[in-house]
Amino acid sequence: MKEKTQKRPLDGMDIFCAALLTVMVVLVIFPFYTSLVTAFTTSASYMQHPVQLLPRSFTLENFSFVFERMNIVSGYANTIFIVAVGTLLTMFISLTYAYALSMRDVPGKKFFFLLLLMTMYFGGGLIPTYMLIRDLGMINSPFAIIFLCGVSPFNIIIMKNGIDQLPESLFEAARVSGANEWQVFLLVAVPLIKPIVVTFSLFAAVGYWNEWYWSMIVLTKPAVKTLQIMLRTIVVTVETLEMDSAASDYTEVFSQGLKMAAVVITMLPIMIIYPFLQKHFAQGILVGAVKM
Amino acid sequence: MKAKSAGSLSSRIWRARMAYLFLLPGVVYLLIFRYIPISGLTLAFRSFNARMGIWHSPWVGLANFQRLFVTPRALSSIINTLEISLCRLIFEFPVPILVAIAINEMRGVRVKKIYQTVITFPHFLSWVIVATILQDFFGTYGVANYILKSLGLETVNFLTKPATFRTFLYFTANWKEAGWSSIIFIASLAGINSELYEAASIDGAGRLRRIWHVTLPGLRATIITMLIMKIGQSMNAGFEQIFSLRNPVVLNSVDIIDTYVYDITFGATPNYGFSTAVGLFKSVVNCVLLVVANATTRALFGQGLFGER
Repeated sequence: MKEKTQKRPLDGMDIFCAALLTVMVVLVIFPFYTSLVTAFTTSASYMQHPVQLLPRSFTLENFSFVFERMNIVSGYANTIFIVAVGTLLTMFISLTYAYALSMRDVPGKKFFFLLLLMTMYFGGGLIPTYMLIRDLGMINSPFAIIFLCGVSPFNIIIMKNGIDQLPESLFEAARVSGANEWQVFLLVAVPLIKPIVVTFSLFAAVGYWNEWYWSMIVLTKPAVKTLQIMLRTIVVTVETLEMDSAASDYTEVFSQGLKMAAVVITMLPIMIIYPFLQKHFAQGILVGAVKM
Repeated sequence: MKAKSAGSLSSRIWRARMAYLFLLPGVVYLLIFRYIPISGLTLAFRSFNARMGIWHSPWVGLANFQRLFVTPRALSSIINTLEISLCRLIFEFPVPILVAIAINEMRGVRVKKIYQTVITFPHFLSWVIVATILQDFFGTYGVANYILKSLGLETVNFLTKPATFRTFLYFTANWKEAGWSSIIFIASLAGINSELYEAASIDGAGRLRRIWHVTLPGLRATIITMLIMKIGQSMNAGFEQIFSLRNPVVLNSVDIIDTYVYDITFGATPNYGFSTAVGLFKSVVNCVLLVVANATTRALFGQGLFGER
């Protein structure tokens, strides 16, 4: 079938589809490209040519300005802490729960399944959740972000389905040869559903990297702010400066350059890992779709 | 008899003790971070008093909900939310389906892969990043207007005119999510029996007709499922996007329920009881819409969320 389509001559449909998708691809790439160029350009060059298809100047000034004003290193550290600890905890809670749900002859299993399933449909919403975090003394704690974001009941159910499909004899063989339940879990079940584990770990990690809603509400002390929140602060500050153009040091500030430098700092890691891991990302939605 | 079954139950529980140990972290997590907030929803029926806390504030019945219907900004935010959600169904929902069909019809396996990789990428960035990039790109002095000007066209204030701003919302949502959302449709396309296409072309069907008679019916189940889920989210009109993109000029025209709740909760005079009531009202309406949409598609197409009838 595939070979046949390769051989026949181009028709209108081929050209239409290729053109449509090419337009989309250009529309997606172009804004990234111009932001990259702007991040590395000087204020003077930008004023002359706001749109530069080929960069006309090169400077790291915007980056050094952002690094001076913001504690980017601490932003990275805070974000990486949340990503690392959050992904580990999320996967631990999810996999243990999924494993137990697929174990045989567990009285009350249905109850624990329902306990999980209900949270897919019902939630407390902004205020009750915020008050819980406050009452737990987790304001300004990265653990608030770690616990509020990450664990997804839907993903746990997919992991459970994955383990359910493994042959029971594998587990029995491991138990008979003297492995305790923890070893069966860690050395048999988890490695055998590795594609699911890899995909959901990546989702959790990217989700934590991009988290800003609860971070904005909960992480108010400068020392605990994450990269996303720093980016937001830069954007908001620069915009206020733009509106109040009488601000004395405004002429010194190259707002577009600063914003784009901050954008580059925040999205660079995702941009670098994405092409290599793209396969796994796409797999995630499919694993979910097939099991739905 | 009774004693025996109780004994066997307790021995079954004892034998399954490792399972409960494995469940423990998840149960503790769910109870604290999911169920305590759910129980906090009773706040919607109380007048919150900071000194008395959630559990001892006085009950006020449905007063918070009544207030919702006499507060002009609350009402306008509900109308805005529904308007924007409806437009998203029209301008956003079909786009990933078109993208999936185009990718399916396109030639060249390698180019296809690269294209798909590129258009999926923005999904993995936060709205904070995407908003910063696109606001600059489409700003008054941005690249988009520069191109319009150099083509001799008039510049457009995409961001600062309420009329164009909503269009901008739908455009940017497609920009960020259309590629990602198309994956699920591409997957269902891969499941279509290729014999159907062959049979259609033997019958003399051109490519357009094959898309109409084979591809689209093959996507039907997925389209219906996604449509029901989307309708069940009608009371959320995209908080993260709107919150990141809005500016003072367009504030009123894109004031949705979630931005309204956020603003009053973290504003000067918060009323937690009222905020919770608005949030609860939103979830209940979403739930009702989901059930109604599911029943409607079941009646019309014989298929709902949980498979065919």
